[in-house]
Amino acid sequence: MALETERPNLPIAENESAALWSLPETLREFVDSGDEETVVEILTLYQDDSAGRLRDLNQALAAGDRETVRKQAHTLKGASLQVGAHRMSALCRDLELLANHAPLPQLVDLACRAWECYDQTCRMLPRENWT
Amino acid sequence: MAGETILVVDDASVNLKLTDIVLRKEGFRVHAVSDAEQALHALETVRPSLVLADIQMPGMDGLEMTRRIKEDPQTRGIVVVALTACAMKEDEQKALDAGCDGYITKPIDTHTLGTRVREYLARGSNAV
Repeated sequence: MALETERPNLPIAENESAALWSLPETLREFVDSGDEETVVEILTLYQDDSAGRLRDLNQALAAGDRETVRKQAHTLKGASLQVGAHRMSALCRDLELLANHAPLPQLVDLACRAWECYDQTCRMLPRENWT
Repeated sequence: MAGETILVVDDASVNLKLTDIVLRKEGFRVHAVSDAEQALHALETVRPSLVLADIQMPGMDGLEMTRRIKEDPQTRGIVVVALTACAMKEDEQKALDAGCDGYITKPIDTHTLGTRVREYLARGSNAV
């Protein structure tokens, strides 16, 4: 059981040092063309969708359903990268890579860090208005 | 080529919305659905020129959906392009093996997506 609480090596050590959020070039073009509304819509959708996926991921963790954890982490990783939430994407990449074999306590720890990262990221994102 | 219908299939709402917006701006008609079952159902009434589909989706994945599209004589001529995560190189080969006519890696590049779609449309389906 001691191994169960041990924290195995993470495959990616930089996840905590990745930028929390920066507007990616692919979304910046909307802002540059005066279409801030689309960017706000995408970022709001990201926040709403990710909250639901993190809840589903936690439920899957509680049920020991590793495949659902992996799939939700995969989708969160991609969506986060798409909107420039780099640290969140890196954490979810770790979760995806480890989901099928790491001890559950390590996955729970990563999921908690993903929630915290999500909250921090959301505080940075514009919502309703581009400011 | 503009005005052709594209069926986009992705369970990630951010990607679905962004793809929808970009392709509409490029002049395409877009039908967007969030899973493979909805996509196959849509194909009973909508006849797109190209299906742009995520590979990893809950329920039926994009590979199985592609196999079904390519097995059906009514739909096998539709160009199917997979959306694959750039880190998942094995997904690209799986997509081609399943019958996809090509793939576009995610994250979606809004600058080039329209061009890539037009290229695949011009090339046509491998199944024809």
